[in-house]
Amino acid sequence: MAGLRAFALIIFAAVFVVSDARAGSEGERAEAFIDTLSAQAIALVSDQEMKPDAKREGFAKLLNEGFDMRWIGQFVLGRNWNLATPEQRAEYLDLFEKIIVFTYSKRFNDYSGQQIQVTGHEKGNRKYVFVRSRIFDPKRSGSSINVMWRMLPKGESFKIVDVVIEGVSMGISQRNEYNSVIQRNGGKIAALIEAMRENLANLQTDS
Amino acid sequence: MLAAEYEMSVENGELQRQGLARRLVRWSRLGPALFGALMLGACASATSDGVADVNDPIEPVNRAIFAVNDVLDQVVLRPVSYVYKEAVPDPIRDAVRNFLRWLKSPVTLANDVMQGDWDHAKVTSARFVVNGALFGIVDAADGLGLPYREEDFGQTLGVHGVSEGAFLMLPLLGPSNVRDTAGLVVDYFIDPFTYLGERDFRRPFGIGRRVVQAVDFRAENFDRIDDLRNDSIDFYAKVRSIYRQQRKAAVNNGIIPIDESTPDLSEEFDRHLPTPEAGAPLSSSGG
Repeated sequence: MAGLRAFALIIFAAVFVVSDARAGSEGERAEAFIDTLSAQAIALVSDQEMKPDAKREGFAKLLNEGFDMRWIGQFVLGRNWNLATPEQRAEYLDLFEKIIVFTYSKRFNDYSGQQIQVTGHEKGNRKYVFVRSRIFDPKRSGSSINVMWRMLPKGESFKIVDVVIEGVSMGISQRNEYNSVIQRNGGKIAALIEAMRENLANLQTDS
Repeated sequence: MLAAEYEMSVENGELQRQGLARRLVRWSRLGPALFGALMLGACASATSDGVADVNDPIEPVNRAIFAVNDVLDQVVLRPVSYVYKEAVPDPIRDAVRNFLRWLKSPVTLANDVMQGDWDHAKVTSARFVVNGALFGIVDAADGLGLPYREEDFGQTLGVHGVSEGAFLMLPLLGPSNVRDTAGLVVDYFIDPFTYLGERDFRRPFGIGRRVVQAVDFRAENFDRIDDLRNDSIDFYAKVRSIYRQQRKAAVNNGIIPIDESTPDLSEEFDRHLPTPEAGAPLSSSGG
């Protein structure tokens, strides 16, 4: 029953995206994009009947639909991207996505009814569009967290390229961390990739 | 400990003591000269790339302190916080946190004034009075549309344009920088609770307060800090990055200004716009 309802919600969300894509200003469409994506994510996470593996796959799919994973991976690697070989880039991007999927999917069970509310949008530098939102737990007052989504327009839709939680950018944190690893290993990208492999292996045994 | 503390200067103002009006005026007059001098060395090192990107000239020393803090966290703070979190009921822990926050009101108020933020000075004063009815253990003001926000002297310096200076990892206290460390000292001296009560009372009170603050913070963020620690491949670098971003946001009162004319706060996105078309031998999934 719960599974059916979640499924219906996703269908509804998909229809919503298609019909909404042609209406409204860019900012309004960006807000709708976040609304839809978060509804899909909440439906997925709160689905009690779905198996963990299926959930993880569903999450990976949502991640690739909503986020420009290649763009983010490249941003995180920074100038080291240009120094990486094609093989290294391919493995890095693969590990990067899997690490995100496993890091977040092991926390699915912590979900306890938090809601997301879009609170506005702004136009940034270059082509960036920002959507502001807050995530809160309706059961606890004073639990609100400000989350900002940095997005790039892609045709009629968008791709998220960064998430800023209470002023902390996920992209920049990850970028600082990964570049520190490379720097401390004499500029070797191979060292980062090795560390990421270990990281992923640990996450996979945890889950 | 570091983990417990890395957000503390944002969450909590830290060292506190008595800011009688006269002392306050004296400090605020003295402040600019003193801290201008303190900042000089640190600001000089900031350039646009490489090591200066992270502004951490004494990284090896910082990492050594971080390692000690981490051991203290794992051996002492984490276990204590776990027991606190599991054994003490939520309402009591909320009361403890509210009380700790209430104790910070004078320092926040002083910094509101030094920042010229009169609106927030009013909020801070109103909160202090409203919640003072029960010595701060119930945050009634929050429900009245007076949300908690803390200001410290590090933020005040930031508001007046002082840059953060070199990153510093403080023993026990966790991540900081030259500016915020100076801020800790100033906040200590302007805090009325530094001077309140008998000599025999002050010291244990001051230490006890900081210990409870650390436990409260660690317990409140228990899983988050554990996850951060376990999922990082360079925990130090991650903490450093998060601390610096949080302080930047705190100086701006959490409001991230975005418009066409001013660069937004994450300049890195503007400096390095990845170009998927250039140098893309891969088929992109993000297309």
